Amino acid sequence: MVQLLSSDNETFTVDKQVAERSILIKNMLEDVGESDAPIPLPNVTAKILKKVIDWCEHHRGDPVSQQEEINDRKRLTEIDEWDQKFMEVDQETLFEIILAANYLDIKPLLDIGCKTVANMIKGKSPEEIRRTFNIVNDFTPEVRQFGIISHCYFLAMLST
Amino acid sequence: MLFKRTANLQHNQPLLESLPNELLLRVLSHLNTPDLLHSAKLNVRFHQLSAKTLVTRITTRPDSLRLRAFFEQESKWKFSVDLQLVAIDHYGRFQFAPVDPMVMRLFESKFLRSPSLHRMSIVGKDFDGLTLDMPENLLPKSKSLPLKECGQHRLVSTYSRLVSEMASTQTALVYTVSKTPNAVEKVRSGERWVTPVRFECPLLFLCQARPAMTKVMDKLNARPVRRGLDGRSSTHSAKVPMVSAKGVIEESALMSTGLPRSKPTNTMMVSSLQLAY
Repeated sequence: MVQLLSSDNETFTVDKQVAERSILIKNMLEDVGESDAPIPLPNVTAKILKKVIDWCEHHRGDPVSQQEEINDRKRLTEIDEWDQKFMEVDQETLFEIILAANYLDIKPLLDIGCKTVANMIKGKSPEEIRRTFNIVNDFTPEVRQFGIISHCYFLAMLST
Repeated sequence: MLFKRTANLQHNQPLLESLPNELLLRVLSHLNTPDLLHSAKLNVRFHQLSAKTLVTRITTRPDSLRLRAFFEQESKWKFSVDLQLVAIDHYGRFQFAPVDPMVMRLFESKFLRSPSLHRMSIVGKDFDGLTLDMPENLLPKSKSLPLKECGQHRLVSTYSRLVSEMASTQTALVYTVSKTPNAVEKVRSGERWVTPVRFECPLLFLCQARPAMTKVMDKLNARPVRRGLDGRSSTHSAKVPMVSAKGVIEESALMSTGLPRSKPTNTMMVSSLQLAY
């Protein structure tokens, strides 16, 4: 068993196998070795940590795939049913889960979160997307005139 | 009371934008290409991130977005060629070049109208179906190609209010014109060999929205729009076949056998065009 300490000082006790879905925790455990001291997670609140642990519990048996980034078009935005239900939360929670998954280094959960957001963007007009996510249109007069958007950025982007 | 207000405030926060670029790129990578073009119009940050995602995608899978340019002269000689992204210039503009090199045999004559680039469509694996909110033709009007002088031409077009995010949009078509090589028999006088070299446009040129009226008409007619890739990257008019192995134009053979000239031309063009749309 492993103890996890949320940013608001709530302790959660979980199976080692469950906790090790998080690469961050897995590495920490490997570094520290067996210890009873709770692992502090200063970037995750109790509310979100509970959600994340729920997800890890459900997916504890999943094979840990090392190879991601396989750009398979078919599974681009497909999410399995349980995960869809799991992601039926308000926007704030959703983005906090994504941030937590990123911090805790849980790639599959991060992917599901990003896919959920992508699905919210899909098929919408730019105006609808702006309304959904409160995005302010900040195109400058310069862009309006010439459509020039920082060419340095593009050049840097191509070289990487 | 106080609690309610903070709850309201939180709801109006730009939460999506609070994500770091790295995570937004992850989100964008899950979008298909048409949705990516939409997200490029949201604001400057999304524009850059969408552009990056798009360029990465095109470089890894070149068939995800291409431009198909349609040229014609006197509705008789028609050519289409697929262009793919090859570079981004100093002004951040996208440069497209033909997938396969192609020579178009067009004519400079007092009796013929100049050839024109009359249509430019986005094609690609994701661009298939009725629901797309983008015009079939990105060009608001056709542009005629001067052929008088041989050499490289750069034809610049400026369109105003094409995309609501931009006051004016500038595109450029670069092509070379040369005389028919001596070894090849001309189809008719004034023949010019025209090679499309490059098409330049800002990313936002590709993000045009379909006019509301067209959308209504399309709904009523339920006209399917096909933009999938069809395996061919260029078509050429059957009227003017390209040079045969012997360097003799096949059309003269066609004429001598007395075949009706227009029939095969039309069916072939129609089939290729249907595939293209």
